[in-house]
Amino acid sequence: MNSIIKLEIQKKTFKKKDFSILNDFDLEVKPGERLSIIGESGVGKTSLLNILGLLDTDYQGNYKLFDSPVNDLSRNKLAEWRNQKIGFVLQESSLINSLTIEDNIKLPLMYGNVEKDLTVQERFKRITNKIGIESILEKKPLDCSGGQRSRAVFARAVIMNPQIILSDEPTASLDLENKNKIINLLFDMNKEFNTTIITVTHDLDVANRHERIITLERNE
Amino acid sequence: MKYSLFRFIDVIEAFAIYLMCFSTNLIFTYVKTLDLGDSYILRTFLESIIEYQLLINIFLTFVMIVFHYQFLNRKKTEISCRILVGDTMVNVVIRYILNSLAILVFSFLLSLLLNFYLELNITSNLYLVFIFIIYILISAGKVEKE
Amino acid sequence: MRILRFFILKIFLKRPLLVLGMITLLLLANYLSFTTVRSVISTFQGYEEMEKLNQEGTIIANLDPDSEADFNRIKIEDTQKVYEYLNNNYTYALRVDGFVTLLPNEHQMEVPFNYIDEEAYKINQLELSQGDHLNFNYKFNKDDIPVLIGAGLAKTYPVGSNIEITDPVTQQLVNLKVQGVLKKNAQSSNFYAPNSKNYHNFSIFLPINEEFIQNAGLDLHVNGLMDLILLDSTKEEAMNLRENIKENLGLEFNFFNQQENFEFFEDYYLNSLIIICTITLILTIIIVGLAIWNNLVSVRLMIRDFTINLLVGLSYSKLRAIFYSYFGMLFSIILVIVSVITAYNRYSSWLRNDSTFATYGILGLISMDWMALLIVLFIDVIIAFVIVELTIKKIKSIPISVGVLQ
Repeated sequence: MNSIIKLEIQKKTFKKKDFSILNDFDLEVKPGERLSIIGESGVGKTSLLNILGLLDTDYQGNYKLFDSPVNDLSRNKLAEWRNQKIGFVLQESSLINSLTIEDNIKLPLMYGNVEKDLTVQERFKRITNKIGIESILEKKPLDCSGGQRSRAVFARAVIMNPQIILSDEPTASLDLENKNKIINLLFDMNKEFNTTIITVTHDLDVANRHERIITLERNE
Repeated sequence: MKYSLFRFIDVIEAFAIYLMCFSTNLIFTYVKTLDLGDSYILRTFLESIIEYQLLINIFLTFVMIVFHYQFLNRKKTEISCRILVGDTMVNVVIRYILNSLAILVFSFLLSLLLNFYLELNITSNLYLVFIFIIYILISAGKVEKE
Repeated sequence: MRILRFFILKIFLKRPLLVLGMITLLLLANYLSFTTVRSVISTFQGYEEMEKLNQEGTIIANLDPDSEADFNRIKIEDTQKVYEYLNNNYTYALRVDGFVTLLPNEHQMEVPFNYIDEEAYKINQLELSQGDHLNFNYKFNKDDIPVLIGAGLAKTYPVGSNIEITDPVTQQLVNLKVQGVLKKNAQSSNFYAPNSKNYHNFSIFLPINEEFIQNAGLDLHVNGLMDLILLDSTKEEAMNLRENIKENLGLEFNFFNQQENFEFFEDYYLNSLIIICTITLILTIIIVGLAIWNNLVSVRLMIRDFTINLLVGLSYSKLRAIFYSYFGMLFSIILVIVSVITAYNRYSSWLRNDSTFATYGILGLISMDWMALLIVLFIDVIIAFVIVELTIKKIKSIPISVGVLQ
């Protein structure tokens, strides 16, 4: 089976810092794979996720996503792919506080121009029902609990039915019950739609539930 | 500065806005005292602006409201953290008022130099000081934690 | 459009204070630029009028501002002598205004009388909307006097109608015959205040000839000398007139030739305009600086909102388009406010029955206002470009992954 992600990084440097990370780092991910990335703080886990998620294109190397070289894509195309092919599950604080939970979840629909699509509306109902957040749809994020916000972040990530879900410490601030809920939701997506799951985590318990674990180490 | 919500850049920003408001008012007042002689073009132009001196000055002071608003919004987390480690909201508010007043007074005193240089009455900027004090007191009611 | 509406309603307007702050600053910048641009346009209009007048051989009279003038001792016989001397030795252009009379009209405006001789009429002929131009060879006290009237009087006094009135300068009952109607907003500038305009929408232009001048009162005689223009003359010849006036009336007059007038006007106009433009430029830069600060502060507060949108599919080019549209809307609102203020100022002349400033215009604004608004619109495009590009630069400098968690 062809790789969905083929990444070859020579190095990633930072303008204001005199060090580099991800030196000579290669990664291939197959469709439907469940991959977790672990490593100590500062080794470049989040940076790697930003590169994979097309949020960062400032590095030396090549990245092919769905067999297309990312470096050749325009900023508009990158935005379109972030909207349609990639879902981001970040920490529960990554919601817009001035919008309701429903507006937050439906945000990607506006950029995909599918707000009125009946299939998408059906999917919205199914997802919110499945993760149990129908009762908070009219609430603002600050009026919800951390677990509810995390589920809302998850709903936003999957509303466009992406082929890849990238999650960055999705369970960092959650209790055991909510942690399990989020991980189960991610894996259900994987089973149901063969969605590729890539999770950055410090939690070995979460990491162990993935098919493959990559440990990033500090460059000497 | 240890107890203050104000960082150096905040002080500079507030200070610059106060000074700009005071200077604008003083320059308007100064222009009114000038004898422009036969220069009708210049006189009518300046009159058409000076006619709205009070309105323009009040509009400019609005920038200070924006400063207080964005400042207090940005400082919500810091206020939460301070309260978490033993500070009280009352103390935070009092310090905020005192710090704001200190910046205002210092700016006003500095603007007096321009007053003396332009030989204008030192009371010219007083009404602006009152407006700014009102802004500080109103904004003090908006000191909130996250 | 959907995305723009979303950003305006759900992101920008959620912090109305910042929007209000921005509108306030941009309003100040716009009003200032508008006032300056209109002042410059008005001055250039006045300058053009002056150029028509200031030809080779033209000498313009001006009462010496440093001299002591005792108008009470001047008698009509003395001024008649001066005008006799003028008629015998010079070709001159004479125009006198400022005589206001009451004449019934639908807007109940006072009616200013403008007395103009043939030479002055030739130099700066006003455009007509109806009827014919003035003729000057009528017999005073025998013929009807042909007159031009302002557009505001045309309904009450159409072309061909007669007006019987006591003439303010001869104090005699005269019959005026409406010969033509001036175009709407016909105006003339002051010699020494070229940016100030007198609109003739309610004026009556009365042609004067030698006979009329002889019959006129002291007011017209003295006022006529104030801005007298000698044509095809020299400075030396003008000095003779200077002596004659001094001898007969005791008034000190200066006479300036083309070169002197040119130098004076160039110096005066140019210096005034340079000072005005410099003041405006400095103030605009300060205000735009504050507007940039205001917008960067908004970005600081809303960075999470922007970056979350970028995360889920918004591109930087769309965000740029959103900002340009947003500022386009702000500037449209502001230009409407400036237009309303200006239209109200113009309308207040009608409320005050101030006939020299009452103007007709589209939505209350005259062509000069529209032209100034157009230039201000151009200035707004530059301001919007600077603010939006700096804002986008600031947003781009914050990594999406960092902004999302702020």
